[in-house]
This record gives sequence, C-alpha cells and structure tokens, in this order.
Amino acid sequence: MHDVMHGVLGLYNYWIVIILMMTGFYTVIARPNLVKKIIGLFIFQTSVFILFISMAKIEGGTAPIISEGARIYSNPLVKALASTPIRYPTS
Amino acid sequence: MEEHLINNVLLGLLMMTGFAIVRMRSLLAVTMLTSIYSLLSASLFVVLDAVDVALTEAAIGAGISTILMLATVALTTDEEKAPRHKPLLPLFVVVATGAALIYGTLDMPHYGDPMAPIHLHVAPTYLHVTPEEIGVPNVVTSVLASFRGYDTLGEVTVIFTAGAGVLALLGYRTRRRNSQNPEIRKMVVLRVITKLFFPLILLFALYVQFHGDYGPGGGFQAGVIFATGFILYALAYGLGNVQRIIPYRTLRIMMVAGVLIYIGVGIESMLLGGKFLEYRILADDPVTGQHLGIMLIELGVGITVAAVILIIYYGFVSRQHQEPPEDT
Repeated sequence: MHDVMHGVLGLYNYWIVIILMMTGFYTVIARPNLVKKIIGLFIFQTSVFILFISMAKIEGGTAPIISEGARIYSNPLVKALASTPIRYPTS
Repeated sequence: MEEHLINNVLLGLLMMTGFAIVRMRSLLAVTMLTSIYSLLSASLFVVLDAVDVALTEAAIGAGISTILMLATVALTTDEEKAPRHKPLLPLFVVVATGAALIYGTLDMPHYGDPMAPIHLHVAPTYLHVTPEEIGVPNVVTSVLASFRGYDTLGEVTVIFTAGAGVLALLGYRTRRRNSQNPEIRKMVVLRVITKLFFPLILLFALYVQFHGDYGPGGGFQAGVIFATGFILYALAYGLGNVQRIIPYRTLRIMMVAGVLIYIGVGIESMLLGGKFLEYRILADDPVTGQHLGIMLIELGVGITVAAVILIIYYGFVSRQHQEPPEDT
C-alpha cells in the first residue's frame, strides 16, 4: 500500500501534465475557432514545460544560482532549455 | 512536505483552469482564464526551482500574450460558435493518446529523484564549471548566454524574424490624432496608478536586465517588462503619447541594433583571435571577459525583444482604429 502511494505521488506531476497536454490537444483538434486553437496550443506547450521542469527538480534542491549555504541545485540545463521556447509563441 | 502540497494544489488548479478554458465559449473570458493559467504555471515553476522560466512565463504568458490575445479578440469576434456535431472522434483520439502516454510514464524516474539519468550527465558539469570559468552565479544565465550562446543568437534571430513578419503582415499606419477610447479618460484611478507605476516598471526592467547574472532574469525578461511598461502607459494615455517617447522609426532601428550588438560581440571576439562568441578573449582576465560578453549580448537580446514586442503592439493598435468601431 505504501509503495502504491509512493508511486502515485512520484508520478503525479507527469499524469497531470498528460491531462493538460490532452486538454490542449483536444482543443486544437475539436474546436474550429482559431483563437481557441491557439489557446489549445498554448496549454499544450505549457504542459511540456511543466514536464521538463518536473524532471529537473531534485528533492531538497534549490534554484541553480550558486550561493553559500546551498549544496544541491536542481538541473540548470533543462531550465535553459525550457526558457528558450517560451519566447516563441508570442511571436 | 509543504513544497509537495503547494505543487499538488497548483497542478490541480491548472487542470481545472484548463478544463474551464475548453468549455467556455466567450473568448474574452477564455483569454482572461489563459492569463490565470499562465500565472499559475509561473507559480508552479517557482516551486519547482525554475525561477528564470517563471519570470519569463509571467512576463510573456500572463502579460504580453494576454494583451495581444485581447487585441485579436477585439479585432474579430468574442463569441465562439457552437460546434455542429458531437466531438466523439477527437475525444476518442485524445483519450487513447493520453492512456498510451500514462502507460509510458510508469517506468519513469520518480519526481525529485536525485539519481534520475537526467541529473547524472551534462548538468553537473555546468554546475561545476560555471563558478570557475564563467564566474556568474546564475547557472541558467551562463548556460544560455555563454555555453549555448549560439542557440541564443538563433533565438534572437527568430524573434527578429517574427517581428519583421508581423510588420510585413499587419503593416503600420501613423495617425496624427491621439485617438483613444473616451471611456478610459474617465478612469482616474487607472491613470494615476499607471503614472506612478510606469517609472517603477522601467526601473525593474533595468534591474532584471543587469542583475540577470546574479539572480533570475536576463535580457529577454527585461525586454518584455520594458515593453509592458510602455504598453500599460499606452493603454491608459493613448498610443500617441507613447509614440512621442519611442517613435515607430526608432523601434525599427532598435530591433536591428539588438541583433547587431549580439553578432558584433561574436565578430569582436573573432577579431581578437578567438572563436565566434568566445567571450574570455574580450578582456585580459577570462572571467571579466565572460562577464562583459554576457552583459553585452543580454543587452542586445533585451533591446531586440523590447522593440519587437512594441512593434507588434503598435501594429495591432494602429490597425484597430483604422475602421470605425462596430460594436460600440
């Protein structure tokens, strides 16, 4: 029972990401309105960021800004990766 | 433990907002919900230690996208037509894909696991090398601006191209008159607060611009915040007043200048005998050179981004007043 709980909590982020992703996907394929389609893409895109950043998180870690008193930093590369595409949709 | 709780609650709220966005028909309401969605995800990014991404998401998603989306809705219609038939096929596709993806997550490393493969390779190198070689505390900035400087150059070029594309599609017409909705003139509170906040927003943008090496932020976020300040002012006092400070022609020059500063830093380092964008050549001390290089290219990014966003905004608004308003 404890194992199941642990598994559910460990994968909870990914599952919500998939639900969000599918919400966006549904909006894109089922709605004819173009504004709605773009918003669907937006939801889809944000869900991908959440997926990346959830994977980058380390338990007990902190933001990857080198400072005294911090020893564990979450993955900086993924953040750099994720903050690049955010910028495109506006354009 | 609290962190987990906040994380789970925010994800739940995101899910609810997502469902509401799909169900609602009023595009105006959907746009506002999208803004909320964006703000929620920015908060989530802070909890997940991605402060730079959070700042970008808050500035872009909750700020600029919402304004542009509202402008689009104002230009078109704010009511979505009801679909003609039941969306059974899309629903089936979505459920099937979702189920397959969830099956795929089952053997993924758990959330927060320090031994996940993603943390074992490239990332530790960046964390170790950054303090000595780059001397910039914010590792995300050092990855974006120094280690992966070519990518960021590509990104600035994309933003520049997008701005040029919008310019080509929307065009721009100068208007002599400072046309503004007379209703806004009556909103005294809005106008006073805007006047108070305008300098603070610009100051904050400069802080984000030049503090990006030490804390969350950087050229991109700063450019967006800078543009947001001017857009807020334009909303409260009319576009004409803003155009007196930053005319359209200046923006076009700024848009190009930012990209040129970036490329110029690269060429300068080549002239000094290094490779393209090899900052450590720029000064006698390699770390000072890195600092200088990162600061300059961030400045270039900031200038281009601010100019492109303002140009897109000008394009939308100048179009808005072209034809007489129909719905008022």
